[in-house]
Amino acid sequence: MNNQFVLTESALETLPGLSIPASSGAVVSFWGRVRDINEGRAVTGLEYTAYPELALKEGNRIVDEALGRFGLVAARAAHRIGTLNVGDAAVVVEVASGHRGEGFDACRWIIDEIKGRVPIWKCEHYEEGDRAWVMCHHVTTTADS
Amino acid sequence: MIVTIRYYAQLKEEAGRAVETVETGAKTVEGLWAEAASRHRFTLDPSLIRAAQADEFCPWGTPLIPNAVVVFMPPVAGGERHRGA
Repeated sequence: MNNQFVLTESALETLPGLSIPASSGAVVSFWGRVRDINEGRAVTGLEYTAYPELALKEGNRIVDEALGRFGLVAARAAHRIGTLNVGDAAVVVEVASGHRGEGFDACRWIIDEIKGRVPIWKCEHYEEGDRAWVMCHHVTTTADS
Repeated sequence: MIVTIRYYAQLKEEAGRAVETVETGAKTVEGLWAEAASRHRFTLDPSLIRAAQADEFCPWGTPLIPNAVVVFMPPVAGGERHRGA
């Protein structure tokens, strides 16, 4: 397995950035951060928990798929797990491509696939002192058919 | 047969445990879920749950493997597109 997708309890800013080959004319990055509000409720922090064995497999599959689908030169992604505060980076995607078009498209595609396919769960903590798991729907992939 | 079940997030909290080893009469992952849902009174609809066996996603009809580790997963954290945002 490659290591283009990483789970970490450390700040994402401490990870090494993408190694950018000379053939790349565009680098597109996405940083997802913890908001202080979600669906009208004041958020004070959150916890991410992952099924690490499968999350790493699926995350690396997504990056591999993006490399082929968009003809990227290089790509990486990383997701935080553990306790995060408002403003912390929760996820980063970075792609290098020949030109900007496929770079923007690939970056958007990778973050959408990560959010829909990688087994990582978010528990939000609210200003009122309660907490809740944030539920969205799984993406059904060909692996299910 | 004997299998081990792992739970995450809301399912872990509802089950009151992250892992359990059970003797089951179920033949498939779906049957194992039905037993677990009855035992722990899970509130999530099975249509929202995904399963894995041997650390790979698997369909509900997948035959259980003796001594396997089966993982039941509630809906994942993200996906604005799935909420129409």
